[in-house]
Amino acid sequence: MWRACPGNRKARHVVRGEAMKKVQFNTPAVPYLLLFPQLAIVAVFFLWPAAEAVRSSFYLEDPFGFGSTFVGFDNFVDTVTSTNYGRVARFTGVFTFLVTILSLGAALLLAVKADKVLRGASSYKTLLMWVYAVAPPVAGLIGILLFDQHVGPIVKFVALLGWHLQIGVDYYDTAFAMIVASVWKQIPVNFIFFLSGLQSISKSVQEAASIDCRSGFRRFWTVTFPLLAPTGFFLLIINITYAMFDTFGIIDVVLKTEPGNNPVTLVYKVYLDGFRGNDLGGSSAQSVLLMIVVFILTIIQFRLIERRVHYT
Amino acid sequence: MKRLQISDHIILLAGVFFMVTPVVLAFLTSTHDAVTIYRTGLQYSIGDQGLSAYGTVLTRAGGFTKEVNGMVMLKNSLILGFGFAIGKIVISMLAAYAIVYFRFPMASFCFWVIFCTLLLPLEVRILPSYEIVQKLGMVNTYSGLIVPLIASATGTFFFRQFFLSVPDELLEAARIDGAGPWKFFIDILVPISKTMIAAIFIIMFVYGWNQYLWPTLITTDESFFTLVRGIKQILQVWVGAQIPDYDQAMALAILAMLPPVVIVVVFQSWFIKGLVESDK
Amino acid sequence: MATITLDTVRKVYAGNVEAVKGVSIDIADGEFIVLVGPSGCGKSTLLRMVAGLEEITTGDIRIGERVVNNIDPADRDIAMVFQNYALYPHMSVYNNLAYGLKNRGMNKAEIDRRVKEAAGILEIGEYLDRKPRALSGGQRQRVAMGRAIVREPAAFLFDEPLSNLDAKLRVQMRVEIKRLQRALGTTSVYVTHDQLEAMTLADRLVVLNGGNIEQIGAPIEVYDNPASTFVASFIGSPAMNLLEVKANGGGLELVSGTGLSGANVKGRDGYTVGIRPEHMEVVDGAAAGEGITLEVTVNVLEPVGAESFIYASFEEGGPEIVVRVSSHAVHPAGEKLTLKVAPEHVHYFDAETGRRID
Repeated sequence: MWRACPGNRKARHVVRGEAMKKVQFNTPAVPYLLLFPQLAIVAVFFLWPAAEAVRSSFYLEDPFGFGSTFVGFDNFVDTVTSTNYGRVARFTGVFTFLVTILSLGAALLLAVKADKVLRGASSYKTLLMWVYAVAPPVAGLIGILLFDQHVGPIVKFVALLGWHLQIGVDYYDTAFAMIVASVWKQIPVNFIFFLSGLQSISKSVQEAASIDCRSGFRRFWTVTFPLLAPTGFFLLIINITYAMFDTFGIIDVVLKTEPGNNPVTLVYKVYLDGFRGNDLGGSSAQSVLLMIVVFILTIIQFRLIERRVHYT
Repeated sequence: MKRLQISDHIILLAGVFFMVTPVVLAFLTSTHDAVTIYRTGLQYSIGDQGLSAYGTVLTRAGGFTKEVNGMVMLKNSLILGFGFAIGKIVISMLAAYAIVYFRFPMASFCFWVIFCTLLLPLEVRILPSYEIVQKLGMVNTYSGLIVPLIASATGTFFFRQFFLSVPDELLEAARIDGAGPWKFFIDILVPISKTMIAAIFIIMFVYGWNQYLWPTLITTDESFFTLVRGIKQILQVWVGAQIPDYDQAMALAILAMLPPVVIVVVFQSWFIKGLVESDK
Repeated sequence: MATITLDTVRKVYAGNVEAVKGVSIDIADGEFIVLVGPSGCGKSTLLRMVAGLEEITTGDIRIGERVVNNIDPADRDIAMVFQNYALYPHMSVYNNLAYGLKNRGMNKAEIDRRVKEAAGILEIGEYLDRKPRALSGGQRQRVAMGRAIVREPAAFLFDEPLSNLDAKLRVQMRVEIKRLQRALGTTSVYVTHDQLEAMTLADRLVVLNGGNIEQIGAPIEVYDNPASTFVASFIGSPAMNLLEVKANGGGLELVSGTGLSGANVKGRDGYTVGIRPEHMEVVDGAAAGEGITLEVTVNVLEPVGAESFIYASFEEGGPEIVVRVSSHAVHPAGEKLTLKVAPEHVHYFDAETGRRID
């Protein structure tokens, strides 16, 4: 039938880890030769650093470079119990939630409309997706210009409403700018996936629905939306990952690299503590905690993708 | 029906306005001089300065940095974009070919080792990655900039999925026609993957070009700065400047987004196909 | 040109699934053999083992005098036509035909001669510069055939080559394949699940079921003397009517108890009787004579043009039989009919094993 969402076949193979070809080559040395570059890079630049992160999370580095001491779970305990970490974790949660909901919602609305209109559909599509190619820090740079204290039109506009927006000074105002820039940057990806999900719903199903159900709104919620749900679940994970990790560039630029008392996300804190604070153990412990979060997200992602198989 | 269509268009136009306006404003502002901008705010028309801010950013060293001008940064961005995309495609096609088309004892072990790289983005292992690159003496080198980024296996999975969708009979026919592993790869598999390669190239080029955190750490020598990396430099000049060079900052922002945006728009259908089918 | 010999060939897949259970076939030089059976009967596996695309678990396959068990497909001197054609999508028709020859290091002039010749035979000469996607289904099919012909192999292997074509084209290509094979005289093994294709193409049919050979023989021989109820119901359309009967004194009756006028000629308690639809004759009243007489009620009359089929049953809810009648016969639903079957057209099968009783 139709493909409710692309990529499900991949997931099935990934989860089972099978090669599916009926016929394969049997030449003994060739596959190792082909795999060597990839495996070498993975070993040196992935496995080694990941292991290093885990190892140093259990050590306390001497600040003057005289070796390190094994401290067990102290780094983790210090991290989790520090009030600052709790504050950052809470902000990350709220930030992730808002960015995800807002960018998914806006993209879904736009995709549904773009799927419906006959005239100008391809122009809308192009105009709504090109921001995909804009780098997060560039988005941040344009963002701080729009939110600039002296020249920013947004600041001037909200001043008319009595809101004296001060990014870099006010905690919530800064967070607001970060969220707007992050949502702006993420709408295109969601839009592309939702639109292709909508377009892959078979025409005959939609025609059947329009015979069975008069109200367009009801039809959307009872037929289109459930068929789109697999794409939505998949995007949910993608967006959470984006908000937690890929917004680094936006945040760094909005903060003009000087965080001060402003909101930061967990990943940003790993970077701050590791590179600015020279707290190797603490930063590593935070890395490991984040690794666990990503790990769980990835597992959920593959579970969800497996379920999408039902729709094909 | 007709009224519904109008409301649809209004919503879409609002969306387009939200997506497009910031960049249009950035461009218009870049055509005015910094003092005008400082006095009157962002600009809504083409200014007297025209594109001269772009000339300044591209050619004059010391606009933001002391040693490097925009041309050098543009060159470095292209090296990063192309190097990353080509390196990733070559390496991941070879690996995916081995995994899909060969029967060998360690196949599933190799598969899982590569698979696990999808679990951890570079950002969470950034510190140890930096230290290792430093130990290997790869700081301020192009290979230090590019190779660690290739460690994630997204490309391998993309090609693996594509190869699995290639009909088995094609390999069978080729074997009956006397093609060995190498011949099959070059004569059949690579040519039929052409559109897939193009699609993944676009995605990877954009991904490489847009890298920020990693180049920030790995390149401290200004002659290795990319355009996106250069933004960090603007910010450091900006903080504490009396009248920031808004025009040049915006010119740099536009320059930094132009090549990937053009590629994505021009090769839209390939790009969307690649994005939607690769899942990442 | 060569003979092909399969000697107790078995295929066991991982997980102990036995797809082919010790099959032996001797194929003569130039013979056209069709392997036919339902999906999962092992026919494709068998063909792929001949091609060298599947390993043989036990047994031997010989092409000519040579045991080819461990020989690479490219070195077996065979050519194969696939169901989905497996044309190289990025190569022109010319290069599709030439690729295998180039890989053998044949000189250009000879390649060119062979490609042109094959293209001439198959009437695809004007498409040589096109890519496969610019061709119709029938043209692709011809290119796939061409790729086999240029090799001038010892044997052609066909894996359901016509099943992706529409009905009309299928008939046309079927005739063409047969004509071509006759002209070239190349030993051919052809796999299909379509009994009509099998009947029309084969010198000899091999009917497979569950990894075993049910019957080998010339098509008409298999049709006239099916070796089992499986073959009886698989070959022929509509299928042979099979009725389970039991002895009642010296006579016969259906399992449900409805009597049949006919003698228990096999002297058993029960067996299966098979009658082809075309071998029943509508008669007036209980005609005398040998053979079996059936009393049925018409359910449906199905005219198909050249002939009509009556679907009729002995009693309400009982087994239904199909009877072929002339296209102009009129038999409304509910009409009671008496059918007569000549004794030479009644087939007897063991009720337990399904094997033919002679």
